[in-house]
Amino acid sequence: MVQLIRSLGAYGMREILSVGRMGIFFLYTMRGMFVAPGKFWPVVKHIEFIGTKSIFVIGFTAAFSGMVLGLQGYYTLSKFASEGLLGSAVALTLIRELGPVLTALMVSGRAGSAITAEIGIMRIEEQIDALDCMAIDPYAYMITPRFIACLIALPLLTAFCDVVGIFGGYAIGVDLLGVSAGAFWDGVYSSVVWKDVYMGIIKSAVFSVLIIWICTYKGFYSGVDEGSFGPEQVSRATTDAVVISSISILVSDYIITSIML
Amino acid sequence: MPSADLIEVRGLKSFYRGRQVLFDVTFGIPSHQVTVIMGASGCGKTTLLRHLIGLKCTGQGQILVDGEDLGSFSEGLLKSYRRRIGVLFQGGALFNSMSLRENIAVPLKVHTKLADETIRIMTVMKLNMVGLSDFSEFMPSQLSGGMRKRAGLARALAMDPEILFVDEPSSGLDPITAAGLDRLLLDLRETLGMTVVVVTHELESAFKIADRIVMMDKGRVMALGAPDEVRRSTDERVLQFLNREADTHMINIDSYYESLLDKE
Amino acid sequence: MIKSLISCPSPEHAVLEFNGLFDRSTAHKVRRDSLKLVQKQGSRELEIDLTNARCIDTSCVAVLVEILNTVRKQGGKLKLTGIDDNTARMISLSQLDEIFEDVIVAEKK
Repeated sequence: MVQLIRSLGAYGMREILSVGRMGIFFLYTMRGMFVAPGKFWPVVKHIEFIGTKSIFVIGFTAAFSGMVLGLQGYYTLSKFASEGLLGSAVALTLIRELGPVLTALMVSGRAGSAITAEIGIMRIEEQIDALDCMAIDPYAYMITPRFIACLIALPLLTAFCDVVGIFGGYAIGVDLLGVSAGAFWDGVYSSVVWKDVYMGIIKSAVFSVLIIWICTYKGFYSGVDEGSFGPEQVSRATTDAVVISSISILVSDYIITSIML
Repeated sequence: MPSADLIEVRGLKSFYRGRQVLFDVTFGIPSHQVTVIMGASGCGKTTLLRHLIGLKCTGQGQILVDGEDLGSFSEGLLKSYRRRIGVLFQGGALFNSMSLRENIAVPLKVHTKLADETIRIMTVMKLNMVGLSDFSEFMPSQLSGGMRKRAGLARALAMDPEILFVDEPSSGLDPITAAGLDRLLLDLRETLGMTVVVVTHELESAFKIADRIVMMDKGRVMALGAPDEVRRSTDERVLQFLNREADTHMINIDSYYESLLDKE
Repeated sequence: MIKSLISCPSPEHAVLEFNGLFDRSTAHKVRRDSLKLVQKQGSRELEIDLTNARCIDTSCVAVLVEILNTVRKQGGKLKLTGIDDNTARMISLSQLDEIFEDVIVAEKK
C-alpha cells in the first residue's frame, strides 16, 4: 500500500516536473527569436521540410477525403431531396473541421515524427551539448526556426488541403453523381462566411504550435529522464510525440470549436 | 592567493541517480600545459569532464576558473567561459545534416563577422591540421569513427580556444594517426599556448603528452603530478594500472553475494 | 582594435602597415583594406607590414592566405614583412610554409 502511494506520488511529481519543464522550454524557444544566429535561411529550410515535402501526401489525403465527403453527402442529402446543398456541406466540413485536423494529423505524422527523431539523435549523440559548449543557444539554433517554419507552413497547407478537398467533392458530386455545377458552387459561395475561414486558420495555428512544441520537446528531452541515451529512447520519444500531438490536436479541436461556435 | 593554475577543482563530489561518482576530487589544471586525466573506464573521468565544461552542475565542491567559481556563474558568464573553450566529445558530436566543412564553420559563422571566403579557408586549414583536408565535403555519416573524431577536434579548434578539452582522442584510431594527434596536441600547446585537458585510458599516449597527470580510480584521485612522479609512485593501485594487471580482487564480496541471492 | 596606414610609393606599389591586435574580431578589416587596394586600386605589388601588429589566432593566417590568392590571381606580388615568431609558427602549424616561403621577407624595412 505504501509502495503504491509512493509510486503514485513519484509519478505525479514527474508529470508536474515535466509540465513545468515544457513551459520553460517554450519560453526559451520564444527568447530564441531574439538571439543569434540569424533565422532566415534555417526557417526557409524547415518550411521546405515541413511544408513543401508534405504537399503531395496532404493533396492525396485531401482529395480522397473530399471525394468521400461528396459521396456520403450526396447519399445523405438525396434522402431529403436536397442534393443542391452538397457544395456547402463539403466546403463547410472541410474548412471548419476536416481541413485543419487532417492537415495537422498528417504533418505531425510525417514531419513531426521526423523532427523528434532528428532532435533526439542530436541529444543522444551529444550534439546539443556540443552546441552548448560552443556558446551557441541550442534553442535559438534548432528549436526556434522549426517553430517559426511550422507556424508558417501549417496554415498554408491547411488552405491547400481545403481547396483540393473541395475539388475532390466537386469531382464526385458533379462529374460522377450529376449534381449541377452551378448549384454546387452557389452552395459554396453562399454558405462559407469569413468566420469559417478564420476559425480554420486559428485552428491550424493552434495545432501547429501544439505539434511543434510537443515534437521538439520530446526530442530535446529524449533519454533525459531515464538518464540513458540510446536509440531506444529516441524511438520511444518519437512514438510519444506522435501519439501525444495527435491526441492534443483532437482535444484542442473540440475545445476551440466549442468556444468559437 | 592567486595560483598558477587556470582551473582548480576543490573537493568536488558528484552524484548520478543517487550513486556517488566523484569523491572529493581535488586537483589543478595549469595553464599552457597538457593535463591528462587518466583512469580505467567507469572511474568518473567523463563525469569530471562534464563538470569542467559546465554541462553538469557542481553540487558539492568547487571548480575555480581564474579564481571564480564555475558553479556560481550566471548564464552570461558561462557563455563567455564557453567561448574560451573547445570541446571534443567522445563520439565527435558532429551535426549529421551538414558536411564537415559546414560543421566546422558553425561556431565561426555564429560568433564572428568573418567573410565567407575567410571562413572557408579557415575550415580547410583546421581540417588539414587533423589530416582530413580531402574530406571537407563529406557528410559525417560517410566517415569512419576515427575520422569523425578528428573532424570533431577540428571543430573544437575552429575558434582557437584558450582551453581545449578532449575526451578519448585516440580511441578507435590506428597507432599512426593516434601518434599524429598526440603530436598535434603538443604543437597546439607550443604554438598557440593552448591549455589542453585530455581524458584518456591509454597509458602510452598519456605519458607521451602529459605535463601533469591526474590518475583516477573509482571516483577518487589516486595519483597526481608530473609523469615521472606518477611513474615512481609506490601505490599498489597505481602500479596495477601502470603495469596493466587485471583486476583480481573483488570489489565487495558481500554485496556481490547479496546480489546473487533472490530478493523478495 | 587595429589601425591601417596606407602609403603608395608608386601607383603600382602599395604599402599597408597595420597597427594593433590582429585577431578574428579585426580580421575582416585587414581583409577589406587589403582587398580594396588590390581589386579597386589595382596595385600589382602589395606590401603588408605587420611589425606593429600582433596576430593571436588562425583567422589572421586565413586572411593572409586569402589576400595572397587574390594578389596572385591578378598577377601581382605580395610581400609580408615584420612577421613575428608566433605568426610564423601558426603558418607552419597550418602547413603553409611552402606557400608563404617567397612571400615572407625576413628583414624589417
